[in-house]
Amino acid sequence: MLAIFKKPLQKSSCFDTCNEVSMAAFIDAIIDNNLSGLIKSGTPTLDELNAAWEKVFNEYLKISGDTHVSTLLELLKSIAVLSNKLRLIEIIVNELLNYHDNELATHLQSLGFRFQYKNGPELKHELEITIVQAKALLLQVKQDQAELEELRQSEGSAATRQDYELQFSAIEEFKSVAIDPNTYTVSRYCADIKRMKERYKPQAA
Amino acid sequence: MSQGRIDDFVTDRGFGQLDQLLEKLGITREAIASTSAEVIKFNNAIAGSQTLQEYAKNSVNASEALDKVEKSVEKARLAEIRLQQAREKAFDDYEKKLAKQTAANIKANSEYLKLVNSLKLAERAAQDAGAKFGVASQQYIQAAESANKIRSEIEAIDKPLNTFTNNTDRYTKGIIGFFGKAYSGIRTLANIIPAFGIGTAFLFLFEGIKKAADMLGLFNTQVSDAQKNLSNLNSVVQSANKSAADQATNLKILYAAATDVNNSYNQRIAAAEELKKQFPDTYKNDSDLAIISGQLSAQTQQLTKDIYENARARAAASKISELAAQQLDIDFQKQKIIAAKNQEIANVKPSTRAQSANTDAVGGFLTPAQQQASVRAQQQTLRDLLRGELEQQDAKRKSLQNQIDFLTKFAGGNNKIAQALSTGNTPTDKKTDPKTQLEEQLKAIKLAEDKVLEDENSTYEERIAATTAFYNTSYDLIKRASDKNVLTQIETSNKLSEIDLSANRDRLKIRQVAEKKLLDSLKEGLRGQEDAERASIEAVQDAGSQKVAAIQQNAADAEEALAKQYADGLINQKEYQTQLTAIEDQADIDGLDQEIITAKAIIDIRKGLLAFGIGSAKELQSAEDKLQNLKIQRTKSATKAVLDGLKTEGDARQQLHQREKELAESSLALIQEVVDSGYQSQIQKLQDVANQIDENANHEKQQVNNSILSSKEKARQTAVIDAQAQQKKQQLEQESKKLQEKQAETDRLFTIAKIIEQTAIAAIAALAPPPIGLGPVAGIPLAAVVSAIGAAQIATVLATPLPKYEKGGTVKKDGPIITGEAGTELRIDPSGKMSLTDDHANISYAKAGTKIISNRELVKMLGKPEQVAFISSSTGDNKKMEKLLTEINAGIRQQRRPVVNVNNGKWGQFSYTRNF
Repeated sequence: MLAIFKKPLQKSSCFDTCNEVSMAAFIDAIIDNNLSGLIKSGTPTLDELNAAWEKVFNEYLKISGDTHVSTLLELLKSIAVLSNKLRLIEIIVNELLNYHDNELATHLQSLGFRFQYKNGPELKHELEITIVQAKALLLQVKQDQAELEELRQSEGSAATRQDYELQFSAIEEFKSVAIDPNTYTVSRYCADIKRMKERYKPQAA
Repeated sequence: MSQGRIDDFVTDRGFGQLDQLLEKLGITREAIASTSAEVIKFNNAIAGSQTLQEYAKNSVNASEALDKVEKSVEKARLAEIRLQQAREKAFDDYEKKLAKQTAANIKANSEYLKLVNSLKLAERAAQDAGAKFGVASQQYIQAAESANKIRSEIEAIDKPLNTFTNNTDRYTKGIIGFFGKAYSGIRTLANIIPAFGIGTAFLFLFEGIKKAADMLGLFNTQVSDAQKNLSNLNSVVQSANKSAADQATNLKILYAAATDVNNSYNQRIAAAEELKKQFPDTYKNDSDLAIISGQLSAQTQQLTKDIYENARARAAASKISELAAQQLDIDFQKQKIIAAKNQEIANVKPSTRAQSANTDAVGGFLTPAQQQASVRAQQQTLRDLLRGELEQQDAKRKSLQNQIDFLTKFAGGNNKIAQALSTGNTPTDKKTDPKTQLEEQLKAIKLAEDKVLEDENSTYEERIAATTAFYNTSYDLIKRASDKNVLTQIETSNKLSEIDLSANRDRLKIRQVAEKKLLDSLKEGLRGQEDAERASIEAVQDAGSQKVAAIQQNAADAEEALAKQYADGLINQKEYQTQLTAIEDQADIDGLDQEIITAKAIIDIRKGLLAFGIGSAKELQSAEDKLQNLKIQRTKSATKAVLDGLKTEGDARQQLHQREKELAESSLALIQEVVDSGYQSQIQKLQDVANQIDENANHEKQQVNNSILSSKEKARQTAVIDAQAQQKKQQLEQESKKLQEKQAETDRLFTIAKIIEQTAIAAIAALAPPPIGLGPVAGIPLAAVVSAIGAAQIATVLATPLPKYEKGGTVKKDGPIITGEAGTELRIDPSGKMSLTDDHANISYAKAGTKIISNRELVKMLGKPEQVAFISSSTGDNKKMEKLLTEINAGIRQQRRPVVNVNNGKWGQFSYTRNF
């Protein structure tokens, strides 16, 4: 094929900061999981779009001062770490009861248990105590799960387009300007919400 | 001999398969370790995740790594099973071939030993030939060649024997990789003691070589007994040879003289006659000619053999008597030891002072329980010593019995001994009368029988055999004597009756003795059973106590490790307390479980004892009571653990329930407050009206007083004003009273409603799952772990820009909120001002503390018409109220309205119609 017919490779790019992304694109992403609004140029892959959305969303959480998500993250991390840890402890303990392996013994130590796990008469006893301690960790997982459930239960339903439209009309009233979601950026929206909250604090009765 | 090589028993292919399986197992085990490392790595990455996306990514990686670990574990289990199957197959083949090879080996050894003896003789012959004829002589050369030939034959056997050993070594080395070094010891022992086979030899793996060797008596008792047997044998053979030598020599000389053709005919006949006289049993029916012609050579050889055998049997009997006497001494010694030790056990006194500083004794003095324990311990030590001493004596006795058995077998059995003692080809006294000789023989037979019967160690079978031998041998002798006309028919009959009577008497005696021994044995057995079972109760108790102590120790160790983790800052205080409680609760339950197991075992033993009339029903009842108490304690502990677990696990859940409860209560309280305030407001209004009436009346009366009316008229009008005011006030009071009654009734309804709410919440809480299983660490249900997608969904929910209160609640921070998204809501400001929101989503500004009664709650409140009126009057928003009620009524008509019946003792039966 002649080089003249070759299409030049189009470099794709995405909007990945809150001061670039419009509220229209943000709402499409958060409500419908539609990330097409993040395309700046070319045809980025889904992975690239997801990476851009990840960046935007994290920035949004930061500038909006939302603490719920960080609490959620801590709980999820704790549950996953402890669950994996417990499963691994169970496996390693069973293996060490079957045959001795220095590497597995070292893994068990790295999971927070301070025994030597040397091959000898003490090993079985040490593994039994490890199990006793691990049972207590199980409680911690369940507690975290209960807290997570509480967090999920205590919050309302997911945001809707109407919620945002309602806020836009409030901001329009507050700023006395019309808002075009296609040009109104996420960072601007967060700043306006903050200012509006400050300005319209309810007066003392 | 067989030339089979042991390493041929497992083929190269078989070895290759085992190698491959072992390699696979090694690979899967390595995979478990390496993928576990990956899990730990990704788990650490999860802990360090800064964003939900990072968390999701690391979480997926960790899950995948964990899956890999689990798959590796499955593979390892499979590889272990396959390897085990292959090993078993290899062992089966090996054991079969080894048995075959060992038999061949023994045979070869036997040939080898024969040749070794031949070689010694040949070498001796060569030496003699060399000394006599010179080393260059033909005789010496031939003898030396003969010796060399034997030596080469020995080498021919020796070589495969060595090959056998080498091959087994090679095989052992080859299979060490599969079976471990211990197998080498087993194989060696299996070769040493082929009779036991590889199966028995495997005992050594588990029991320890020394223990098993001791148990089998391989290196002590049996070797020692063998030496003693050899010594006894030498002694018996020497004695027998000495005894038989004269007779045998005499026989040899006479027979040689009778058959030597160089002697004169008369000399030979005289020798033959002498033979017949001295050995009538052998030669009496033979003619002199037959003797001198050498026709009786075989008989003479047999006679010579009989002479030696009988002599040997007599010598053995003598030695056996000696050994039996030693056994009696041992029995006597045992009785003395038992008596002495029992005395010592009975004299054990409790120690009141602690022996060691490491004791729980208060002030160094032992408590009564500790003193009893001390006595038991001392008695147990003495019993152990006694057992040890008795075992030593038993071993000696057994050794003697082994020697007796050996000698008995050597002499041809008990019958042979008895026969030798009674008959035998002893030289007949030429002068002895046949009848006298018969009497002596019968006496000897009886003596032999009595010897067996009098021996306490003789078994029942041996006694019966001895009596039978006595009867049969005596019967034969008498019949033979009768045949020879030594006895008349009457004499024969009498003799037979005598031995018949004697034998029957002996049999009866044997039976009586046996029955007595059996009875004694049963009695002893029962006593032994009682002791054993009582001892087993103590053993069960001790074992149970040890296990409980081990459980407590485990828990203590776990607590110590936990405290260290806390001290090192690896866990926070909350985690520490949670885990500590869990460990303590678990230890309590495990300990009680163990005590229950112990108590059940003791009950079983006591029931068994009671069935034999040992022990008392009271003891059994006491044990059952104890078990019952333990079960109650176990239930309590389990309940406590559940409660603790619920407290810990469901802390947040409880908080949630509590919050729901508070919310429900506060909603109800709020409603009650609203309603109460409505009633109070109306009552106050009535009061205000009443005050106004008073005021108006006073004003009117003042006007009347200030008028120009007569005093009488003034008084009349004043009275009328008072009466009218009073009448109006009475009406107002009645209205107020009615309102107060209604308020009281409403309060009662609210109280009932609260009870209903609380009951519903409690029911929900009761359905909460238990906190933790009591089994091993179970896998965490994956469903409980929020997936990455789920996390993102939650995140978007949490990322809602403004707080929404469609479920109601209290505003936490000042700021804009969204209300009315699920319909009209009741909003109560911190100042107490109430208002109804629009029935569609709207942004409004709220102060912290503002309460939002959700549409659902509001509808619930409006189930009673009077509440509608109060809320309407409180909010003053009749338009919204009217619209709301229209919607509610429309909705209610479409709903099925469940009726909840509540039976509350104080309030009686109450039917509550739910409007939502």
